Amino acid sequence: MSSDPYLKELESQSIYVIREAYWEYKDSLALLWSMGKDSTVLVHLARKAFLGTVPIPVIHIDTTFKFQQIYDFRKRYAGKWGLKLVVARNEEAILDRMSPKLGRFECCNALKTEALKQIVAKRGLKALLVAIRRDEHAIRAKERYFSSRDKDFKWDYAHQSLELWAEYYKSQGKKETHFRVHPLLGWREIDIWRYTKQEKLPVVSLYFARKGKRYRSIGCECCCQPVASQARSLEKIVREISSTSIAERSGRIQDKEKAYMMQKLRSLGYM
Amino acid sequence: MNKYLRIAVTGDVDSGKSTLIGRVLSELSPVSAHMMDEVSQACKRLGRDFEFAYLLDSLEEERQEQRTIDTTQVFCKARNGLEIVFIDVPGHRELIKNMLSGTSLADGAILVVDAGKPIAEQARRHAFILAFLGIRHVMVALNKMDAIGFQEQEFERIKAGIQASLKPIGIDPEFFVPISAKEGENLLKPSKRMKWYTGDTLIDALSSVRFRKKPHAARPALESKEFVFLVQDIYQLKKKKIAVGLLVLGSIGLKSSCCVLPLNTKNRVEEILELGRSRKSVRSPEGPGLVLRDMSCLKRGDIVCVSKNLNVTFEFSAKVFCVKQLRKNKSINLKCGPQETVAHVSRITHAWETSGLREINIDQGVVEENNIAEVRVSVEQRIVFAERSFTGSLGRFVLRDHQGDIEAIGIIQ
Repeated sequence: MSSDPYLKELESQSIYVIREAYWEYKDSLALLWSMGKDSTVLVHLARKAFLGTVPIPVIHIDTTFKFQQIYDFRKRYAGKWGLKLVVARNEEAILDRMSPKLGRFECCNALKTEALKQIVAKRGLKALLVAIRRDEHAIRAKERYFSSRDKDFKWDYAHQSLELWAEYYKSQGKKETHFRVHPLLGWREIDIWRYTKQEKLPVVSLYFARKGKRYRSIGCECCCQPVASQARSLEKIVREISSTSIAERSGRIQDKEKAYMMQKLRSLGYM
Repeated sequence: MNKYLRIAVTGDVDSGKSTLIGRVLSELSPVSAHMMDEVSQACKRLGRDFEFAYLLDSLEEERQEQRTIDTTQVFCKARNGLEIVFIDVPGHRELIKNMLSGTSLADGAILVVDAGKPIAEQARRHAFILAFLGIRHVMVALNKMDAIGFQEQEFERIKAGIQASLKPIGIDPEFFVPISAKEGENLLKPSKRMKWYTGDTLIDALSSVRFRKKPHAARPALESKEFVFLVQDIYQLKKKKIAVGLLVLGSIGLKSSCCVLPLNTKNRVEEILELGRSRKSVRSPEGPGLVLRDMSCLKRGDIVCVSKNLNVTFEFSAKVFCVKQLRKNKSINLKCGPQETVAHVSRITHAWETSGLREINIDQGVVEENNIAEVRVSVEQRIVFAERSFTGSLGRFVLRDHQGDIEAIGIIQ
């Protein structure tokens, strides 16, 4: 078996973190799956960590504004991999017709952060595996592998805990309601694609170029824009990412609507 | 693909760490237009010229207060296929835990020193922490050369002072590069204003084989069947018990005879499992599931191994960095890899303050935060450890309070 030693190292460290989180939190641990490339890699790593069946709930925070291809992908692979899929929505806000028209910040906060808060409370979750990476956004670069959130879900970024060698971290405490665990923190976008290719993982078709455009990052249909690209295969995406200087999330409107929007969203509990 | 080089950029507050990284980053890899725009607009709102540091200091507070609060990391491509991750850390004394969080992951470090000031206490403390964490590749970037007129004599004088100051700490920098981060001198291109300097630019020093290839410490060669596997958990799958964990050293083949520590029982590897298949052999750093002949007593924290380099003990000597106040005989949790036990410091033999290495009084059985001590640690349950050079993981530990906060970091002696 010829696998890349560097990817092996990343994989192995992530699996270690997933198993540590499961050891600490057992059934009060869940995994957030958006069907995007990163959290699909995370699901795969969890399947490897648990040697097959993922024993924890896999949660999709559904804003109802996702691309149809994303819902199709969810149905297909949740079944194929035998995932304990949980779809979480902020039904009240959806009934009230929350949408980006009422403000993107407000919409993200209500349909994502609030929906997450509701499911965490409902299931009594203590920790969440989340597929964020340092190289995605300058704010996410400051994260820890084990990152605590207080009862209001706030991220106290100025007073983060000491964490060493991705091995020693703060994992318990009274004042925190839950922990965010980030097994992919040290991965880069290119590593995700190279790994997806190596492991022959499926990805939502939106990532591949059609008519000269593809999505680098996917989310809600109304708030994502494609970038110019000819990359129609994993091979070509890897090549494209190696040479581009366009930011991965440049098509994600919520990142740039207002100054420090990502910082504000995240400090309130956004992923 | 090569693994990237992780470089921590350390030094006192205001020595120009974030500016250095921001400048190198923007000259090396094309920074996205989106990011440059965001920084330009932030600078405009604050009424300032373009700040390279803001490429790193992304928090609103960091920009308003002009200081790095938390550690961050940025990726960039250097030359000849070399890829670097710069780890920016805060310089402030009260933010030392953020500095430690970032630096523990580094392969090497740049110590940034302000040429206009005497070497600060904090720079020495950072140098000390680098040595303590086992980071041996250290280079000094003497920054703000513009403030001292780019003078050679001054550079040589300051360099000698720094060398003398770092020697007792055990740090002998491999390079001294005179730079101006703000003006981009000697970062990527040789400076025209410091023609007297014939050494490497910062990026050449980072790329140099000498800096990259020097091993951290010589590891004893592995015996042919030697391996060390840390048990993280026992999973029950289809009524079968499986030990999952990390193979930190060596390789395991089917039917290998092995030993389970700390109980020192003989055992045998019957199955090696991964997702959807079984394997005949695995190599470090894989994390397979193992089925041993006797699974009855196996539990988290056990070490499955074939090795003469591991020790099993109730008491050991260590050097500890105190993140918080350390108190003799206080009950505390010790974590070493997946091993956890209640422990206490039974003896403090010496203690020093980390910036000047002055010995401090230990008569009260207390060592204050940010200091270092040589101690004896007693544990309630036997632990397995090894020299740091053998396996990083079993050569270090942390002491945590009952809230889970790390109070001290230890290196087993």
